[in-house]
Amino acid sequence: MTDSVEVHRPVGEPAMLALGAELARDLRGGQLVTLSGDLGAGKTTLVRGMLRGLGFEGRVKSPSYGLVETYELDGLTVHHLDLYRLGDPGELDFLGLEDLLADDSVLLVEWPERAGGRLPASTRRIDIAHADEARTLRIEDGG
Amino acid sequence: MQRAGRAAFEVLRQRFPDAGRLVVVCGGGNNGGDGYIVAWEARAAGLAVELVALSDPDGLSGEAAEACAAWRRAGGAIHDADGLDDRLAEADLVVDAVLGTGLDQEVRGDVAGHLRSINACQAPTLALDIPSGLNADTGQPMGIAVRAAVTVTFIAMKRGLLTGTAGDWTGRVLLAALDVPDEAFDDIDPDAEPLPADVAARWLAPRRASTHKGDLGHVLVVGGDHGMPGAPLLAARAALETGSGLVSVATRADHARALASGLAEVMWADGEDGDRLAALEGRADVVALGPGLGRSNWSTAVWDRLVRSERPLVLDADGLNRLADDRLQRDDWILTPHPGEAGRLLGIGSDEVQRDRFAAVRELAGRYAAVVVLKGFGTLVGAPDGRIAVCPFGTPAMATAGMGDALTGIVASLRGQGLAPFDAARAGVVLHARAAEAAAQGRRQVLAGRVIDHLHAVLPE
Repeated sequence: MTDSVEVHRPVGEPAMLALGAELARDLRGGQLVTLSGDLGAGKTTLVRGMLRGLGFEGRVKSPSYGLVETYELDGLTVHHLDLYRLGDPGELDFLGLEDLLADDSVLLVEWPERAGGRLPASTRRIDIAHADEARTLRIEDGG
Repeated sequence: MQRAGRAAFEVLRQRFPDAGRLVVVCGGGNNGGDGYIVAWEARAAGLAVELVALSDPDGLSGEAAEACAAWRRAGGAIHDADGLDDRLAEADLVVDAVLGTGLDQEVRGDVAGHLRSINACQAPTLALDIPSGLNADTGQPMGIAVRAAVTVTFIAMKRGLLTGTAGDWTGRVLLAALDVPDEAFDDIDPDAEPLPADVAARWLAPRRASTHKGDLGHVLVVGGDHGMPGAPLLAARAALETGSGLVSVATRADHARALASGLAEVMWADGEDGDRLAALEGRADVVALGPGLGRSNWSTAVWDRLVRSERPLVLDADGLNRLADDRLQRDDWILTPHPGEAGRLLGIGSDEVQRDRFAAVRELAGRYAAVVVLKGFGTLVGAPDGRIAVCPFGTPAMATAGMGDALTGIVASLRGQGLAPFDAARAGVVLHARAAEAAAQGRRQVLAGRVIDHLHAVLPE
């Protein structure tokens, strides 16, 4: 069930980073946020913006190798998942999602479609559509 | 030495049949000894020979001393370096026998001056064994080197004659294969294998009558950011012409639409669609990542995912530049850097790579546990276990855009046809270089597309 829908149209990478930082303020322990969109749409950029908004200053890289990259921040642990390289939804069991999702942690999940419905219910869904440099973010809360 | 000198003289007669007045410039080592024998042979054949010794002939030892004594017994005069320029001005041909393959330090100042005189003279130069001043291991001049028209080298190819800037100095390289016992090879560096012209036939068996395209491998080429549709197109064409059964290109959505009718044999896919890309990757036998990949968000997103593919990988161009930023380990991959890209991967300048290409390719292959193709004159192929092969084919006409994309397609095709990574790379560089030779045919410049069109002429049947 959807509670609300927001639409944003950031133009350029700085705007995407700023939007990420803004969205980071809503993050609370126990949330699962999914990010959908084409390759190069800006999902990882948005995650980088969120992490910067939470005070992380190091390098944010795509976690596709180990599927999950964890950031221990002040009062909140962020697990950044990229399921692109997930060979089979069954592999999710090895990630121990139940253990990752706790009262003081959030999950940011790229390529949630590849989990084949095995993810816990999301609290926020972000879809990024793009045409050339323009981006349209559709943010749905609920679940 | 006797045989080496005689073989060199044979080459001299073949290559320079009209040369009547020779100046032979000899140094103080065995290379100088070869010079005395060539001088002796030339004199016996009735040519006018002036012999200039840059060091005291009484200081010669062993076979070189014997050769010098024979020259004197025959009535030959030995001049010192005074008047070298005047003698050179009269010559039809200069024979360079000053410094041989043992040179491991900068050429001394006075000798350097004499080498400059040889380079300044109008007559062509025949170098014995190696142009004086050239390092036999790296192919780089040690301060200065003689610029020869022809180099006749003895016993075995020295790897330094085939790579680096060596081609600028050696001119045409001819191997005077002497009938030598095996022991003579003991002190020759065995680590660089010169690749034969027919090397691809070692691994590409003739096709069976029942061969099906599914047996021949599916290559997925990934690249072609905005403005660079040509690079993956060339790689795809090269893969098809090398014999792949199926070739797909995942590129920018715009390009996939625009190019679909341009090369109908290729399956064009929207490389921005992650599900589509993942599905294609799942069906591919090998992924060629990098041609025209660019440096956009899309490039990064694609690179991050595909470089970790479980498929065999050929990484080129922008794919390599990204690797320099983001060290990672994997196996079953082939990297095809030019010296600039190799330098970025090693954190050094391209000039430093060129100074010792063998060391660079060995370091890269070991560090990344990859087969590495270091492009350039005398392309080198290095394996993670330290083996190195040298491609003695190719032409300066290949120095043109798109040539690397063609090589990527050829190597990926061979890997997809089941050749092991080191074999695919070795066969690929030879096919590429020989196709370019066939395509160039005396042209100053040859386009990558034309090279691809000549692959059929150099592939085994």
